[in-house]
Amino acid sequence: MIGLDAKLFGILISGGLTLMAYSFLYRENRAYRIAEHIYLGAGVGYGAILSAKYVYDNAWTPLVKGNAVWAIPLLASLLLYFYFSKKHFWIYRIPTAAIIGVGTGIVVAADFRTRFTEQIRATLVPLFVSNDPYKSFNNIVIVLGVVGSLLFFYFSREHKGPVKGMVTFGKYIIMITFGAAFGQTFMARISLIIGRIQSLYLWPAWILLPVSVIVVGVAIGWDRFKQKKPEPTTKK
Amino acid sequence: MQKLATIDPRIIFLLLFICVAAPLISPVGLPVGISPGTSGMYKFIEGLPSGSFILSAFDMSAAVAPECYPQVAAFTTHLKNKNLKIVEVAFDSAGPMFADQALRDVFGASKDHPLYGKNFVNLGYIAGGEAAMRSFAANPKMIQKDFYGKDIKDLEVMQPLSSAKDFKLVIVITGSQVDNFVRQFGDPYGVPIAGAVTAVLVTRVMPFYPAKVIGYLNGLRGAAEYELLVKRPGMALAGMDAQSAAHLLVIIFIIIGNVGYMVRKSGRS
Repeated sequence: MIGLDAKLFGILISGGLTLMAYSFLYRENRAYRIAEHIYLGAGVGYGAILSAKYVYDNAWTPLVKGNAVWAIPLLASLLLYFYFSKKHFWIYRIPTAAIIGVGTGIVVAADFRTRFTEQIRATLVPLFVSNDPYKSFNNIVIVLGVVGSLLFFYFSREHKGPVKGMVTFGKYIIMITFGAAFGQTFMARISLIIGRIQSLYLWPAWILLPVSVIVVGVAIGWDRFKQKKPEPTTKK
Repeated sequence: MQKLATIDPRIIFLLLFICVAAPLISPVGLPVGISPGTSGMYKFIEGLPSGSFILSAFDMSAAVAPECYPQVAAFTTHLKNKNLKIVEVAFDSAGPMFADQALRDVFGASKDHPLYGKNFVNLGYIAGGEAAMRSFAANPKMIQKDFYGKDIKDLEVMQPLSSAKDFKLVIVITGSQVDNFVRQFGDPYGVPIAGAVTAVLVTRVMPFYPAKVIGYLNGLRGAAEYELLVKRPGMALAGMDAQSAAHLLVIIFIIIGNVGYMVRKSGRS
């Protein structure tokens, strides 16, 4: 009709939704709301379809082929719908308990090793490495930083004497960590903007830019006009 | 200074937009160094013998695609150049879409490629979060069909796999965490983990590096570094000037904000 194939049409839709979403930076508006709702709807819909496909391929298909064991998880999952029944709500708790129990069992046992014992082991490093002052410095910072940070959260005794110095060091280490995390977060957010601007740079998305500039200009003008307009007087 | 302290945030947004857009339109070509995390991952893959199995685990949503997808395109190119066998799997529902996109960008086609099922495969989404990861690690052939509906039994690349131990590397593409992959793949099976992660996540990956995570790509910057290493300049490298310009702008704003704060504080005292 207008010479656009599916890919170009996709780029145009993507560019339009990007600009609609960014219009929030000027102020809350309907275009932003529409983009937000489309994003949520598309995301949830896509996820639901893929989950349903997964269940169909891996549970339903083997069941109808005669593998009866798949009836157990399928029936158990149907029990989750008792969430909507006030009278039989307790049935919903059975599969929920199984999900939580299995999930916790899988995570907790493995996590104790991954994030506790292994991390402690990684902190047990030699403070002085021969012929490698850089590594020695790193190891000293790791050991003192961990001890200082942990002492910062030790409240059973007043922080004074030599402990105070360690606590102060730990506090600075924590602040540096927060700073690094903030810097990384900022870098991530800028990457997202770069990605969106790069998408707007593609044909035919960039033709939306002058359109959006005009729309924003009209919106600003309309806001100014409304500000200058005198308030209507109410009749007594 | 008072005016600067009460500046309309929309002016800052506009300046930021200009700072990001201008270098994209007219690139400066600032140098990009290679960080240890990136070179760690590159060297590890470089050292793998041809035909080794690599698991690309897509635990990513569409929201992190601008950071993670350029990383995927760059390292998949490397895997292809090294003639490694790629098994793509997703633990987030958006993952298979990007896995498919990566195959089409790097190999030119996904399910219609003559090497599909022999050298690479897209298994699609496996629901269940960490429980699914555990099951998949125990038996990669746990699912019946791939993303395109092909029977797993008919896919040649899947036949030698019996557990996560058969993978020489697990590359986690994520914006949420790598801890779960270290828990379910790294620690129990001794498989090395590499991270293609968002910049936000890097501070959570670093405690595992280099003992558990052999290397990681730090957001868009990591993708740009990898593009340089595999000699495939792409969107990430093109975005590095914009990233530097935006960072510079924010550093200036932080300095102005702090000077303004100190001036106001000295004025009050």
